[in-house]
Amino acid sequence: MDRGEKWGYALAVVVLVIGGALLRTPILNWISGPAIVICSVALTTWISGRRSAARGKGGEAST
Amino acid sequence: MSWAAHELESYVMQKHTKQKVSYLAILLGCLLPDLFTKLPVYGLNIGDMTLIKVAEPWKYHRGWPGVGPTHSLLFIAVATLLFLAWKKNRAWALGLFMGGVAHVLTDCFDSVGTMLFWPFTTQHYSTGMWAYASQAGRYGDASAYYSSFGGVWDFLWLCIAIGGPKVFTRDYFFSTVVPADPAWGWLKRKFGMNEAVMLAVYRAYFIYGACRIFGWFIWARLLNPERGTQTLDWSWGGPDWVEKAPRTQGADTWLGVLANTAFGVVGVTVSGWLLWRLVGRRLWARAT
Repeated sequence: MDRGEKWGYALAVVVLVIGGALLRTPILNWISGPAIVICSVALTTWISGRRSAARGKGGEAST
Repeated sequence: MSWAAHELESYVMQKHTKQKVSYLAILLGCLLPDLFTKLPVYGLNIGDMTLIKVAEPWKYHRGWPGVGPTHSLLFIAVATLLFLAWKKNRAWALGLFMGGVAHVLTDCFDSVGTMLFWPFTTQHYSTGMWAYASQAGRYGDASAYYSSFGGVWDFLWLCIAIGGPKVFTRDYFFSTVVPADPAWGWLKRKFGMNEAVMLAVYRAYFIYGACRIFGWFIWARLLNPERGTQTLDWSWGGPDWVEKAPRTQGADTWLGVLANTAFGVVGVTVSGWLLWRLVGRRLWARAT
C-alpha cells in the first residue's frame, strides 16, 4: 500500500473513533462516516503525489 | 436493530459467494430495509426541537401498520425483482437479495424482531438477545446497544470480517470485485477516481463499521453523562435499565406461533415460487 493511502486510512480511523466518540451522530452516520474515509484517502494520496512530484523535480534540477 | 453489523456483513457475504455478485448491491441490500424509513424512529433534531418522531417507534419500524414489511422476506424478493426488471443485471439482483435477507435476519436478534413472513402473518421472530431501545432516543439507544449484547454482536461481525483479510486486499478488489460489477467502471469514469480512491470507496463501510463500534462504545462507556446509571449489562435481553418495547404482534401460545409460522412459510414459499415462475425467471433470462 502506498504511504499516502496508509496515512489516509490512519487519519480516517482517528477522526471516526475520536471525533465519533466526541461528536457522535454528525460523524458516525452512514453518509458522513464512509465519506470521511474516502475524503481522507483522496486527500492524503493527492498530497503524497504532489510531494513525490516536487521531490522528483528537485532531484532533476540538482543533476 | 444492529448498529454496525449491517455494514460488516456485506464483506463477509461477498467473500463467501461463489456466484458473480456485486458488492455495492449487497451493501445496498444490507441498508435497504432502513434506507427510507429510519428518520421517524429517532426524529429530526433541530436545536431543542424533535420533528417527525413517531410515538411508538418499535411499532412503526417493525410492525404493521407501519414500515415493518420492509423487514420481511417477500418485500426483499419483490424489491429484487423490480430492480432486476430495471437494471437487467444478475450480479446486482443477487447482491440486493442477499444483503436484504441478511438485514432482515440480523434484526431478528433484538427484542422486537421482524415479521419474516409478512403479509401472511404479522408474527414477529426474535431471539431477544438485546433490548430494542429506539424509544429511548438515538443516544439512549446507542448507550443501551453498546452496554448490552448488541455491542458484542457488532464486535463478533467485526471479528468474522477481519477473519477473511483477503477480501480487503487490492488484488481481491481488482481481480474479483471490479470485474463483477460495471458500476465500478462507471464510478471511475464519472468521478475520475484513481485506484486508491476506488479502493477507499470499497473499504469505506468496513472502516466506518469498525470505527463506529469503538466510537460509540467509548462514548457510551466513558463519556456518556448517564453512564453511572446506564451500566454495562451482558445479560440476555439486556440492558435491564432501558424502557422495554412492549410485546409486539404475535400469538400468545407456542401452538399459535407454530400455526402462524406454518401459514407464513407456506404463503411465502408459494408466492415466492409463483413470482419466480411468472416473472423472475423471464427477467433473469433477459438479464446479463
